[in-house]
Amino acid sequence: MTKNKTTCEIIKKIKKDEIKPVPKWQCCLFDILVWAGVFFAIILSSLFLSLVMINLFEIPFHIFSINYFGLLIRFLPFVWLGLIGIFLFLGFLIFNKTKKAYRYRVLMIIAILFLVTLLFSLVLGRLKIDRHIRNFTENKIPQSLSNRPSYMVFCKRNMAEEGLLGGELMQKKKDYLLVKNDLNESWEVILTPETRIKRKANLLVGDKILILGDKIGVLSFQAKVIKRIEENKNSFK
Amino acid sequence: MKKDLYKASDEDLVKEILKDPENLSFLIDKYWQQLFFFVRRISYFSSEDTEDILQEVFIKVYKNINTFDSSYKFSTWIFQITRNTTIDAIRKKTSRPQEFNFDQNDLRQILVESGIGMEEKIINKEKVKIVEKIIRSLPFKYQEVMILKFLEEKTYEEMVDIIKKPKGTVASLLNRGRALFKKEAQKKELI
Repeated sequence: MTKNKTTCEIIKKIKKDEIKPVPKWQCCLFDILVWAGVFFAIILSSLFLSLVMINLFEIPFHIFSINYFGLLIRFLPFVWLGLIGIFLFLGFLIFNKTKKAYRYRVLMIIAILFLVTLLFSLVLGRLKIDRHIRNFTENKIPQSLSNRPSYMVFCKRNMAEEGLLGGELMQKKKDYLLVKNDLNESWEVILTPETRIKRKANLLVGDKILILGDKIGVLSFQAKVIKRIEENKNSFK
Repeated sequence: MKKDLYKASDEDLVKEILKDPENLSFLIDKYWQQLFFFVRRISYFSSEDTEDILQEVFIKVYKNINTFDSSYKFSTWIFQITRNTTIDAIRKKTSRPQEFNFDQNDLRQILVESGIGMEEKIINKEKVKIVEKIIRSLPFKYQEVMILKFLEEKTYEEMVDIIKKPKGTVASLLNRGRALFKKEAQKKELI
């Protein structure tokens, strides 16, 4: 077969099969849809990242010094973290469909996606959109998977079964404390020789305290670790 | 009377092809030989198979001509389509004809351009065959970048767009290909 013969065959085939170039608008539409997909994935992962951040920032970080891994696992908002992972991965896959994605290394694409997500999440946090979403989803998603309890939550909810108690110190005796939480429950907190008071804090009546230990009765709690929360911590806001 | 587009730029040719598919013949004339050798070099295909591949390539070019982005060189775009079509054809073909498609000049050019430093030693046919075998024994990804760089004389930017890999990856493929070739040549006592 010669080149001229092939040329004729190609043109003949184009005419016979009525092959037409893909319309320009179709190519443009595809590009727009791909970029819109990337943007959509970034916005959603930013939203979930901002939800993770408000949850984590509300936790008094020093409680991690008590039982770092155990508490960290308890405080991680798995639903939001999982959704961030899914949408970042989706964003990465869609980005790879853009015309010039191949020019960039995988790590670079991931890093850029993450930085843009972080930036957007700060903006969403600033606009308080994350708080609206959290309030909206609070009763729809199990708390254990989404909104992790902050110190305020320890005080507002009875979490004694889970080994956490928070509230105001009402009375202080040698071997027990009386603590009142925001539910107006007065808890008797038993102190044992093993009870550790973090940084040897001198507890005073009226202090806000966080106690880790075991529930031993209806309104009775045995303390393992006691931590005084300072008023100027973010967790009190 | 048919317009003479032999001296037209690729961009003008694209516009003319959109007006009349007959003008595709100018594009075919311009790129046929270059692409024919490129396909032969990166595959084991016979001339007939190569022509079939090129036929498919030019039909794809016509079909997707509106997707051509003028920020690329047209030659880069057409090489990209040719490469992808050839790779698809290689995948489809279960039995490949064992026919080497490098000529002695090609081999000499690879050796000179890659700076491996053994071109003066390729004096007899037997040694040429060994060099050819070494190049053919390299994984396709290394062969491909060596052919694009040393035979098709593409720049790194063009190679990035043709094989759709980041610049760093292209550079490391080229270096590794060169090093592998050198190692094999040393084993065969050519260096």
